[in-house]
Amino acid sequence: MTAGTANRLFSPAEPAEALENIKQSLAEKRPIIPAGRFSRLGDWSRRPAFGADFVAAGNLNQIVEFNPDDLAIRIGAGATPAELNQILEGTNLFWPVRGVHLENRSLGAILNEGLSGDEVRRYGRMLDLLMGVEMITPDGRRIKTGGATVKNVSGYDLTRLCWRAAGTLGFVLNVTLKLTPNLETKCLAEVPLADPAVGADLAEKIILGRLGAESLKIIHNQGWFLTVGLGDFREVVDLRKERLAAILKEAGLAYEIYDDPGYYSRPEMVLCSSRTESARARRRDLLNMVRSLAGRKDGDFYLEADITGEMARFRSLPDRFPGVVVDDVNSAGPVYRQLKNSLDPEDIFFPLPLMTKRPE
Amino acid sequence: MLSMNLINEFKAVVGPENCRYHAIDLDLYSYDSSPFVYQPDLLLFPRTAEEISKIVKLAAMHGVPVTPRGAGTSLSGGAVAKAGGVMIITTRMDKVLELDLLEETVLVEPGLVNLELQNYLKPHGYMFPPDPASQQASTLGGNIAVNSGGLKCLKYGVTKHYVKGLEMVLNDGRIVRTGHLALADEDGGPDPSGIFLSSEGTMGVITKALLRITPLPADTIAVSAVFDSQEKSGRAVSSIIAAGILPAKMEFIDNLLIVAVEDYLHLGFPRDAEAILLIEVDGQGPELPRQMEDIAELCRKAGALSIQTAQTPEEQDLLWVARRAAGGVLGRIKPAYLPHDIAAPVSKLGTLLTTVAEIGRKHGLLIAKSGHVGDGNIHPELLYDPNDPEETERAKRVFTEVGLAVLPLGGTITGEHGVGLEKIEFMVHEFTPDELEFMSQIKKTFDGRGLMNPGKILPEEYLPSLTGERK
Repeated sequence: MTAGTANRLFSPAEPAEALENIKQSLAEKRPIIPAGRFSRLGDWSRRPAFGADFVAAGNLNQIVEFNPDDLAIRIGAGATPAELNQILEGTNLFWPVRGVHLENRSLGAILNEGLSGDEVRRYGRMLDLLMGVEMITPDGRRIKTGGATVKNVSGYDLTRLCWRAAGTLGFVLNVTLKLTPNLETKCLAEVPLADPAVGADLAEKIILGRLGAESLKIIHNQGWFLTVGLGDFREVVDLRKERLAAILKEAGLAYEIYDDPGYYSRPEMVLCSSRTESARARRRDLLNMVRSLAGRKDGDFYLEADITGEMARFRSLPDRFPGVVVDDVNSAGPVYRQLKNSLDPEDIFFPLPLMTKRPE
Repeated sequence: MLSMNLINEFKAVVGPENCRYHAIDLDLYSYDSSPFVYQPDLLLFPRTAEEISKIVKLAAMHGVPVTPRGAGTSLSGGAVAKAGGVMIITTRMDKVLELDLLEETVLVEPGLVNLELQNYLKPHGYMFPPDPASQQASTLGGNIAVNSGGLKCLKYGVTKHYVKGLEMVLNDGRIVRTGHLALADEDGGPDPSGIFLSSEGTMGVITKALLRITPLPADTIAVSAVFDSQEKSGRAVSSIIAAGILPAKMEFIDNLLIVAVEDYLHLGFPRDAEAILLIEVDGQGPELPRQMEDIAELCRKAGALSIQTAQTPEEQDLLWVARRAAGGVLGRIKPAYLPHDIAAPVSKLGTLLTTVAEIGRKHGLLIAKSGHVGDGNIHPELLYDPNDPEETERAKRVFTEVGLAVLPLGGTITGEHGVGLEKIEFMVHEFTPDELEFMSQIKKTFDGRGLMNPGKILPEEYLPSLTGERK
């Protein structure tokens, strides 16, 4: 790492330009930091004397290939889910990895951070809707893997290489994504809760009762709420509303239904800031965490526990969550490092996450 | 050939009852469901990951190749021991270890048969969606190793979409856990599961899998739609997808198969039909009749001659028996066939079907076509008589031509069978040298000496040699 030299920013508009930029950085052995459009690099990118090359995907946000009959689109990694869904307007298709928290994330960043949308239970993670990737490898090769077919088992599945790799295993140029036909209708049920434990029990009941909720969240934002997202054909949503009403009636809880809510996230819960922390855990652990937060003073924290998505986003908590149980076996780390050491032996691509200490 | 001393060392790991090396046993395991025949030197039936770890360590120490195998249903030669050595057969590791309905996951051993898992989940109201045609025999370890598909992939996706975590034994004997089986820190961290999925046993041996399960649909409706041209059936598929309808299954069979299936099952399929689409929708129930009416209307508009709804669950089952029988009934026409499983974007499917038919006509070879048309995956089966050397050679040439025909359409040479040995010749056509080099680098990361299922997936010049160098 060339400490003491200035950072450089590349914003390639074409894959060939990105390749040229990255080859230049590799030749000069400067650390490469892949960045999205609204990247969370935050204060790191403003450090003047770090000497890294930031390669931003923001200008790589064009459609590369799109045929609605294929239920697939190939698009630059710098596009955001909101932009993608705008492109799809009028086609009867949409991209289901969406939510308030993803509004300003580029697709490449969502892939590299391993994020999920509000409707993860029904449609899966971005990884599950990723059909192909074109990327630049840590040794400067431009490779393409996968394509516009759901089924493809030819060779090693390199499409999944960058999932949660935080930009350490290459620079994503564009992605081929599986699209979904528009839902006929959707609604959001919001249940105010006096006690989070009641919400946790209800959430458990809804999952075990196979209500078919697309989204199930326990939210703390000036009070506790359970939100249940329902979307499908009209008849199915009506059926699910009836079943949900019966469950809530039995629990003696009032609720409100919002038709066509847009996202299942609550707009005021925009938690994409550098102060945001997130946790992944099993549903059971998230529910136990929610239960353990009972009695905490209102207003001292924000929480959005996505039970079906197995993810919690929280802000302004003075301490780490109590009650998130984590497994002490983690052998995936060494396997990943083995891969990283082999593909990027000089640790050029985004060395920061692998450092034990952030650069001063 | 392994020395008796070494065989005894392996035997000591698994116990004599789980070790076989008599000629007749070795012969039996020389085959999978492909035409490739290679004999292993030793068969081991371990019962735990720890035993597999010891086997792999011992094999590494002596430079012995290791071929992992489930039920041996690979259609591409993935489960034969090309370089001999030790074959690790996981069929005695066949338990469901944990069912967690709140997490909607099931933890299984790799030797559990796909259908046995389905039967286990059914009373709980759940299913594991991937349902390859071999589901009565194929194991989940094998399904994961080749990322199996099946009939329901358009709506439900393929095996990799249901793997939440893996436990694997790597080539140095390490037992590693990935994904949710290794969830350890709040940030999650990188998840290397992806590269192990569909690696066909070339990077390690799967010893446990945490699988996502989904609720069984409350109801299903199935229809068969008859067409007098394949092109019209293709048009129907496109219009159904364009209308935003995602059938659980949308299958195609051509005239050659229609006649063969009809001769076998007597379902009343018109023998002069050029194509039949078998379509099933599933869901909660009340929405299904409306969906199926829309599908029927779109088929009619595309030129369907008749549309018949299965009236009872038994009739529905028969439709899928007919579809799954497509491979077997070909024996009525010719004694052997070369199976392809090419896949193309749905918008190119019509072109692909026409091209394949033209190739068959040009070479005077019968090609039966069936496929999961909703996801663009078709199975042209090249019929030939292995006792006729000229026809056999011709079939091989046609196999190559059909495989190459899918690539300019943006498709792939294998949608669900895997590369194994059978499709290696196509790899240099589907991928650039840079892409193959990168795959080679990944293979070498986890198997630098090329001992894990040698000779598979990559062309020889991209495989590591026993010394760890490129050949």
